[in-house]
Amino acid sequence: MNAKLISAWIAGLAIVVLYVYATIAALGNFFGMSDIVRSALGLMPWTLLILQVVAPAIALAVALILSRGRSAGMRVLLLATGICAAAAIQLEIMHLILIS
Amino acid sequence: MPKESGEGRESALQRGWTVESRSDVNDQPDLATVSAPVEAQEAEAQNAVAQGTAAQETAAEGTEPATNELAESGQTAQLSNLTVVMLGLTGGIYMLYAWVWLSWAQFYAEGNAAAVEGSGSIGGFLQQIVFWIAPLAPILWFVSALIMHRRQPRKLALALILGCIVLLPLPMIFGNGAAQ
Repeated sequence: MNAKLISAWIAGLAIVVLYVYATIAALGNFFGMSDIVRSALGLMPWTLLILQVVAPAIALAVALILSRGRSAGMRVLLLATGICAAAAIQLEIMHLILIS
Repeated sequence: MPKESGEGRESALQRGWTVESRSDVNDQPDLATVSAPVEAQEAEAQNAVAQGTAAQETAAEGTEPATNELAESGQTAQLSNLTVVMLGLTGGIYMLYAWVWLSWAQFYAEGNAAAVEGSGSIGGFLQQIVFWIAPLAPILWFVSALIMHRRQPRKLALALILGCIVLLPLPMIFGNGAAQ
């Protein structure tokens, strides 16, 4: 029981590190690409860049809310699903920016 | 009397023969009663899929009592056939999504690995992880939805359809993907 709880916490914290890194990387993208985006027309690239920054935070919040009152394994699974979805959305946005 | 005993033997043989046939006879009606409604439900579910969502709901209401009867005869509670059809459809869509994400992840991971070759390794390592977990998103979403809402087909359908929308690879629709 205790070992299971500790391993769930370790897995959860490792996943949260990925959330933090995804946010930091998106912020880096935001500031790094702002010069490029500024030359481009329209509001769309800005919206996409901001969405890229907030996607991990939204995913983490949704995962934590959905996993309230559930078992430790389910929480880890939902956290993993959240970071994967956030990573997919970031990848998609990067792809959209690069092909546009 | 000997004839009667002979007949008795024959009947005894027949009885011995019919023990097996009786077991078959006992099994077959069960199979027939189980498989016939299942086929009928499958046909009904397929018709419902063809006719649209309104018909789907009525078919779901129609199949639920039947599956309950099946569940009473069996040990475990079964998913309704409509749920199984829905799981098959969305599972196929999610697998397609996973494949698309995988191709993009491969493309960007290679580019990123070349770009950050000289810089800090931790950032590059984490970035590689973040790239490569993207294809897992549809799979984990499907598993999570199935585990969370296995008992509630409506919530399961809602979660799976929401996943289809959230995880839709938009650049695939806009076309001209770099890593197609």
